[in-house]
Amino acid sequence: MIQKGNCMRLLSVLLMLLATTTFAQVISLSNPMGAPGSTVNVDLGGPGKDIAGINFAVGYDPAVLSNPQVSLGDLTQGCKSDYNVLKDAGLNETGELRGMVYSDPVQSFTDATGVIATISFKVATSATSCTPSNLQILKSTSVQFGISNTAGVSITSNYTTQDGSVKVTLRGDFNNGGNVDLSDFTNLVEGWGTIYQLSDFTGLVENWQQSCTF
Amino acid sequence: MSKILKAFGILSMVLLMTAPVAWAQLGTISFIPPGGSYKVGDKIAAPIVMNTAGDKVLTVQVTLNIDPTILEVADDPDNPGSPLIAIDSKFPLVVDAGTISVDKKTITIVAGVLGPTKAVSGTAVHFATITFNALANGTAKVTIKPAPDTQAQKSGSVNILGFFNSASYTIGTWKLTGKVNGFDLPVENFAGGILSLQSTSSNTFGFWYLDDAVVSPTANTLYRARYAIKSDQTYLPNVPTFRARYNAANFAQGDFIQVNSNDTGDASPGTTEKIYDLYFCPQYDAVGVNGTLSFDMINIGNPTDVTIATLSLDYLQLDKKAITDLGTLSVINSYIFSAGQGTWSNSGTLGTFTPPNYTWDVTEGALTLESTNTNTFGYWQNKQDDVAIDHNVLYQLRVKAASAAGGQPTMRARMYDHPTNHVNSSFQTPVWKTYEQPVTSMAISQLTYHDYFAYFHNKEGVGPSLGIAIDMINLDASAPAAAKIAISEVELSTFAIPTF
Repeated sequence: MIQKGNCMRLLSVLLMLLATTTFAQVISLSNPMGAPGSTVNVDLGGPGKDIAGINFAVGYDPAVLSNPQVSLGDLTQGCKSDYNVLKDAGLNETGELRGMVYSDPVQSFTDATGVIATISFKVATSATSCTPSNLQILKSTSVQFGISNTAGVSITSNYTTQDGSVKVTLRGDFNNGGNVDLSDFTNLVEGWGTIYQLSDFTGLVENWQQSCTF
Repeated sequence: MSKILKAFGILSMVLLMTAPVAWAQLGTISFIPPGGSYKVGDKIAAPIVMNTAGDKVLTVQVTLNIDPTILEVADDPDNPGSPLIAIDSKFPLVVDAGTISVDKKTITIVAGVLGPTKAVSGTAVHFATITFNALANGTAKVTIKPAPDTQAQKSGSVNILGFFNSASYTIGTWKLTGKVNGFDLPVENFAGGILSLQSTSSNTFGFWYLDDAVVSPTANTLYRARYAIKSDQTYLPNVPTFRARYNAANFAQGDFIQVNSNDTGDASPGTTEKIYDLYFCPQYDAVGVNGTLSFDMINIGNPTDVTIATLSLDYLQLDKKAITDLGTLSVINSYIFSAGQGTWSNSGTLGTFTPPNYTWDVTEGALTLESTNTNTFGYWQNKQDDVAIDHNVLYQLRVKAASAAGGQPTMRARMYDHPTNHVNSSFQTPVWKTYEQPVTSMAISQLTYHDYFAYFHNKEGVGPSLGIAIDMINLDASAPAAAKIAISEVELSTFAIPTF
């Protein structure tokens, strides 16, 4: 039998242990869906607290995704960003994006969990439908992945990473919902003659009422 | 105090600012007209029309359910193997021109406008017309499945439809009759799914009827036969009287509503169709027996009715619903005759008819009507201004009554707008002389009580009160002269107007 006093002491010890433990925080890539031919946004997300700058590298399959571009997320509004798409001698994308987001003047990102940066990709029109295309946060070198605080000190070790993917859906899935239905048709009509044209309508008809399971 | 007033002022301003905000109205999709009368082998053109409630529609998806034993989508003669579905030219982007499911029960059509500048809006936007083949006799309901199966989307992929109205087609051989007792038969016309009757004199009586319109009715089920009727008269008092009528094939029960163009004729139809709903619940010997629906013209005796006038039945819809699904029953008045006749009175002598003997029977604890010959007609009625009429409820009248075993004269329970009598709803049992054949060896004192139910929605009868009367009709020469009806209870209740 556990006495009441013993129970209280045990609880105190547990609370102290919890207080002194530092949990690793996660920087992750999202898993959006995108139809062949569409542009899809992948979020690099995590906690903004204590971070004043981050550099990252994302590996992708250039046969499926291309032309990545980086923009600021809701945690980093007012910050600055830069990025570089690695290419070979033939100017073909090698499948690695390197980017950075940093505050200037130095201060922490917004103290919340949210989007640090958004990376847009163009999904190849030839991409295979209903197949995920993996995205990897590369971190074999500090050039690829690093996080610093407002003192300029690396706090990378406080973070782990989680990879993501682009789930390639169907032609005609204009709202990237994973299926082709009336909402996609309405999107198409709304953008008819500007964003969309006959080939898009053909894709919608071809995949009408089809859906992907990932 | 001033802070409170200031706060109150701010609150008032907030309320004023928010007050004009109204709920968005939802659109409606319907068949127009929502029915009609056809014969087996006919082609039925069914236009699908939207009221967009002010919104601008970009895309439409319609999913329909049909009974494939009665209807099928016709084949396009110009494109054999394809359904005969004409999508309106306002929707040139056609994703699905009409996919029919393997079981032939479901049809789907999907089409959109050509870009955002071509968005359509209006109260009667035609989307498509489907042509059906009428395969077999019966009532063929075509149901528009609600969202998400049926939608009309505006910008932002927002569905604007909230109301999905079905159609119902009566398929069978409508027949005309009525040349009885020296009445003149009206001139018939039957074209384009519309039935018409034209009176030829002020002594005209006749009716269109469709046998087996009600198939194997079940007990405790409310049926609604919706008649869409118009006339060729713009001055409503001129419109002849008509009835919308049901009777069981064995004549064990009949129900009708009769519309009279008395005084200003408010309830009668002009040249634009009006909807008349006949509600009935098959009971006792009428359960399981197919029923006939009729459309009667009665141009007799009303001095304002013109001699030559036409009444048309544009369509007839039949729906049903379990009584238990009608919601809360609210009792309005309960008349119990165990201690006396209360405020009820009898009709005395009516014209040349012999009045029944009207008594309050102390032994039965009931009002009675007792005939001594087969020229007997009379009734008990409630205090006629006892019940203020409500146009927005469905009345249920429960009559606990008995007739002498073997005698069975017709008992009729009526509800009507008093004193105008524009709309008269009647339930009667039995209907016909089959049930009035002489039967010997039964004493008229042997009474067995049953509850009988009648239903009435008074949409347009302008009388301020709901009159109730219970008739005895013993007019068939072959019926027993001595017959008796006893009424122990009459209960008036209401349901909300049912939806189907």
